[in-house]
Amino acid sequence: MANWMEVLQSSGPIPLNELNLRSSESPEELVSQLADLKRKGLVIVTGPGSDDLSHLTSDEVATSADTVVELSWSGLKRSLS
Amino acid sequence: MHAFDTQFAIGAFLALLLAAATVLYDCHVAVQERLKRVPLIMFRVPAALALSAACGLTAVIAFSLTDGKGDTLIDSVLGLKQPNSILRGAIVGLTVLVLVRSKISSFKGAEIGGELVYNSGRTWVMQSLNRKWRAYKSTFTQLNLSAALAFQDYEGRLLSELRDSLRTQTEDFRGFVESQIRNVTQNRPQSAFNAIQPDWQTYYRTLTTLALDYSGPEVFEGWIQFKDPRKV
Repeated sequence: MANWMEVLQSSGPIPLNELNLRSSESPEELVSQLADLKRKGLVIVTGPGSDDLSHLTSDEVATSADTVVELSWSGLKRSLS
Repeated sequence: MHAFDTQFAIGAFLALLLAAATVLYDCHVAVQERLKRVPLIMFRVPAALALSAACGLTAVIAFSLTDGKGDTLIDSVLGLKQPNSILRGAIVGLTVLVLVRSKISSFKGAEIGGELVYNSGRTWVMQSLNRKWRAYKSTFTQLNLSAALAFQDYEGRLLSELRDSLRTQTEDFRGFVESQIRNVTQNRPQSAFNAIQPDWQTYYRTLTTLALDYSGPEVFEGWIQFKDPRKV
C-alpha cells in the first residue's frame, strides 16, 4: 500500500485523477484506501463523487479533475508532529 | 515594574525579533521537510507572520517579567539571571520557543497549553502554504500546458532534469520520487499522442506538477517557452 500521507504531504491538495496517475494501485484500490483515510479523518475529499468514493468507477476516477484530495487538519497535524 | 529605559526597550525589541525569527525558521524547516522544493518564502505567508508575531509578543511579555535577579522562575529559566537587559532580551527571544514547546506543555503525551497552541499554529501555516502551492501549480499548468504539449520529448527532458535536481537529496527521497515517476509513466495513455485528448492533457499536467512538487519551479529554468506565474 502506498504511503498516501507522504504523497499528500509533499503534493498538497491534488486532483483525484492526478493522484490516480501517481499511484501504483488500481483506481478501485486507490478509492478504497482514500475512503479508509477519510473515515479516519486524515484526508478531506471535495468535489464530485466525494460523498461516496467507493461508488466511483475507474473511468470516473480517471477523469475526476474536480475531485480534490488533501490532508485534513488532523492529517496535517499528525504529519507535523 | 520597570522604569522605561533604552536598554530595556532594546531588550524587549530583541526578544520580539529573535522569537519571531526563531518561529519563522522553525516553520521553514518543517515545511522544507514536507513540501520539499516548494519555493514559498515564509515572511510572505500571513499565517506564518501571525504565528511568529504571537510568539514574539509572548517573548516580550516573558521578558517584561524578568529583572535579571533570578527571583522568579521565568527569570531563572528564560533570562538566565542575566543583569544586562539587552543580553537578557536576546536570551529570552531565543529560548521562549523552547519553553513553549517543552515537556511542561504536554501531559502523558497529550499536548496542552503552549505546545497545543503552537502546533495548531504550525498546522494553520501548513494549510495556508498548501493552498498557495495548489494555486501556484494550477496557474503554472494553465499557463504552460499548451507549450508542454507542443514540446519535443517533453517527458524525457523533464524527467531527466527532475532526476538531475534530486541528486543531492537522500536515497530514500529519490526512491520515493522515482516510485511516483514509475507509476506515472506506467499510466501513460495507450493511444497515439494527441494534444487535444483529455487523457494526454492529464498525463502532461501530472508530469508537470510532479516535477514542481519535487524540484520546484527551478526545474523549468531555461525553458524559454514556459512562463513563471510569479513573473507574469
